[in-house]
Amino acid sequence: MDVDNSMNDVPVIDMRHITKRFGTFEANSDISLDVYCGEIHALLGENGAGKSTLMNVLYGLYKPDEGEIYLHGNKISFSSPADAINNRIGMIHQHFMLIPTLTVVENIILMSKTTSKFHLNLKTECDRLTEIIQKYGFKIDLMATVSDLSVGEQQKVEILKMLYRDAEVLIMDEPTAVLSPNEVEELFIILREIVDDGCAVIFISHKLWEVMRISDRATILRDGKKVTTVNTADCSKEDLANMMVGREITLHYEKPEIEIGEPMLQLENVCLNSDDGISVLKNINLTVRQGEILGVAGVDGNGQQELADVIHGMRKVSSGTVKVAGSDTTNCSPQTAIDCGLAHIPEDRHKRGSILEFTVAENIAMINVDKAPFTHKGIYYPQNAQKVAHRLKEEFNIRCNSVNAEMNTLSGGNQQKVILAREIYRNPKLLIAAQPSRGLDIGATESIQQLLIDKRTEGMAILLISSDLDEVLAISDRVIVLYEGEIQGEFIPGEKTFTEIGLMMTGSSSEERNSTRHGVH
Amino acid sequence: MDWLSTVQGILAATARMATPLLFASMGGLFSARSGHISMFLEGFMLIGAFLGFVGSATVGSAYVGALLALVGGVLISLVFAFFAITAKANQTLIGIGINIFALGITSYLVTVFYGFGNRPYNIDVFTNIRIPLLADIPIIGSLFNLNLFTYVAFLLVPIVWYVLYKTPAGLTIRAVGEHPKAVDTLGGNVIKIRYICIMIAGALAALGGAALSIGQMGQFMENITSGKGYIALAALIFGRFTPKGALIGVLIFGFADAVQMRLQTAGSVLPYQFLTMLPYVITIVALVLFARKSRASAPAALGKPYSRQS
Ligand SMILES: Nc1ncnc2c1ncn2[C@@H]1O[C@H](COP(=O)(O)OP(=O)(O)OP(=O)(O)O)[C@@H](O)[C@H]1O
Ligand SMILES: [Mg+2]
Repeated sequence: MDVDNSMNDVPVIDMRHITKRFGTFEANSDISLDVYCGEIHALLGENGAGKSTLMNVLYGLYKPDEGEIYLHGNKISFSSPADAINNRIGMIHQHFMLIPTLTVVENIILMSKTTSKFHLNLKTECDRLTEIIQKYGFKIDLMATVSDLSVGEQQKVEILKMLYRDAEVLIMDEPTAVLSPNEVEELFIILREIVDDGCAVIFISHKLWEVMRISDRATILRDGKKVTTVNTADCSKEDLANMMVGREITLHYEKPEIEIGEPMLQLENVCLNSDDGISVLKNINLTVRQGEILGVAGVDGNGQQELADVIHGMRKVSSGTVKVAGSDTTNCSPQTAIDCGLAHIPEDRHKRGSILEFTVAENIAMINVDKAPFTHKGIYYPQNAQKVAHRLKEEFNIRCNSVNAEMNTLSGGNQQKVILAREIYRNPKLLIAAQPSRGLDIGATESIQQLLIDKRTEGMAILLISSDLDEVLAISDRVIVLYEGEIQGEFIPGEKTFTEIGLMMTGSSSEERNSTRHGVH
Repeated sequence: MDWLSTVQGILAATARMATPLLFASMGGLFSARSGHISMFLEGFMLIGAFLGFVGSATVGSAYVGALLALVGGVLISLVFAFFAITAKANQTLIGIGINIFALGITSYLVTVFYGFGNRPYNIDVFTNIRIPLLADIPIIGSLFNLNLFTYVAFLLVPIVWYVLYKTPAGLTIRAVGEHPKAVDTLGGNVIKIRYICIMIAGALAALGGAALSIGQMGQFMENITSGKGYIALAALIFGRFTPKGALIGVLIFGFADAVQMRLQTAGSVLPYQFLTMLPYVITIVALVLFARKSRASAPAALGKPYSRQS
């Protein structure tokens, strides 16, 4: 107890009056943050509030324009991440910093002090790693290639990378955004062990229940300024939400009853085999009609991505038929599906939905670039793209300096909103929305979900693919559960309990119900 | 009896023809794997060929020539590095610019230095070194009676492989070409690593050029490299950016070149211009056949300048 107290007297991290500007825009203004060893400190705020920027300042990636940083009471100034790492600060970025073509062990030892400077023996390095791995009970194949790993495993590699460097402060920028519920549980256990060892964790998340569960204190940012720091135990979820957004958040929607119309998407006996012959979609039959939202629930990686790809024409089915808005588009090009009235909000918006080096306006014009108002009589009018972009920026509350800013200067959540806005703006007959609220703050999540409901009420057919069960249940008219490429069942939200759905998501039949309840630690 | 000497001759000629290309492609491995479009190899080689010749002709020592080529190669590579890494200009364009510059400046200077008629001949060159015992092996013995450049070039292949795949530095180089930001966030200096890789490429490619002028020919003429830098680049791509693959690519060209020369001396019915073209055609065909596969193996950050934007 005594030791603990003396340790906790001086914060390990003390950021004082930090201001960071990009041009004239203040992403952080006068923010102070102190973090103690042994605590998990949550950093909360809407999209673009300045969370990532503040952490990049701490990590030495950005130089603050004003303010000081103290480490164990000593003033420091980092000019690069190398300094931060040498001072035992590690950061796991919102977008993973792993090299997909290299193995796990190579990624971990990259730029670290290896046994020999002149000879790289992966076996020896693996042995050195197993100690940490066993200590925290990771299950990971060190010789696997990173591109073959699931996102959850990739994240463990990121954590290992930092533990291997003996990090005392671990910054995690939205670590749970891409994880399945089980993986989140595993992560939380690891994080607890890390802080019990005397480390500190700074944890960024938009999911308030996670913040309530895992964090000891929370600092809330709004518009680049600090609102306050609170003890999480003294607050409710609603308190945190109000401090973040400055208004009430309900996450409860009105869904008017309407007439269901023509089928806009029909899949009949669709099967898909992967390149190495493994069956990834098994006999999928589904129909989505005008004016309804069909939710696809399931843990990530159970065929959701492939389902979307098949409908979009990005992958060819092995058998079965796909119909978009009544026309047979089986194995047609993506363009055909789009011409039939399909819009697709892809899951990985960094890789597939956007071009990060292009401006916001250009990204918005991208798919419809050959149509009015962007192109008139064969000539592209950038000013029209800017006008549309400007309107969408207001409508979707996209925070960027201007519509001519490059996509990669936007915060993670705002990049997502640009893609969402573009696809919905096209007013498609059929919309595939994959993880539409991933990475969005609660305010934006609320407005996106409301928007999807409004579009459905106007008669759009929507296929909602989401690993967030709350989201699926909140807005879908019907729900199917996908497990290992197979539909496990269909129900109407409210018909089944959470536990029942959870079991469907793991492929367990009802008889096993009592034996396979996944425990919460 | 006759075919035996032919085989011996072709083997030795293949190794000799492959030498300049090997230097260039091993250098190119460093620049390409760290994320650069390595169009510049041709220009670096040409500069190296010229400086090697000048050094040897002026001082009277081929070793001084090789040293001068190496230094010159590093200097010209810094020009590329500055424009590509620091100024973030288009790497293909800078590469082509350097190649055109190298062609112009070497053609010009060789005339300024030596006039038209009286270029020095009989300059000091790297002569063949006969390795005892090995050189007596039947058929392949001819491979052990070659000059220092050739021995070094072939030794470079395992060395470069070791550096790239078996040292921490090599891991960092490969990582920089795939995902520079990841290296940056781990405290690596992406800019410095990239500069060093380009300098290695400059040094090795220039030595490859010198291997032509003061290793093979004992002479310098305008455009002496005649596209060999591009062939080295092609071999790299064909070889999926690995030392072994590049070696195979280079050997295909070297072999085609050796056969082509044989045919010329044997007095073929085909016009000699056609024969000279042959190795290039073969290399291009091989490249096209394999190009589809090799796209996936190119470093992900190829041609992309790095900036942290702070
Ligand atoms: N390199 C940059 N150049 C210009 N503006 C930037 C740059 N990086 C961030 N910004 C701006 O600074 C603001 C804060 O961005 P930051 O990434 O810190 O937000 P965030 O709180 O992490 O949001 P999210 O939850 O969406 O990830 C945003 O408005 C963003 O547009
Ligand atoms: Mg962020």
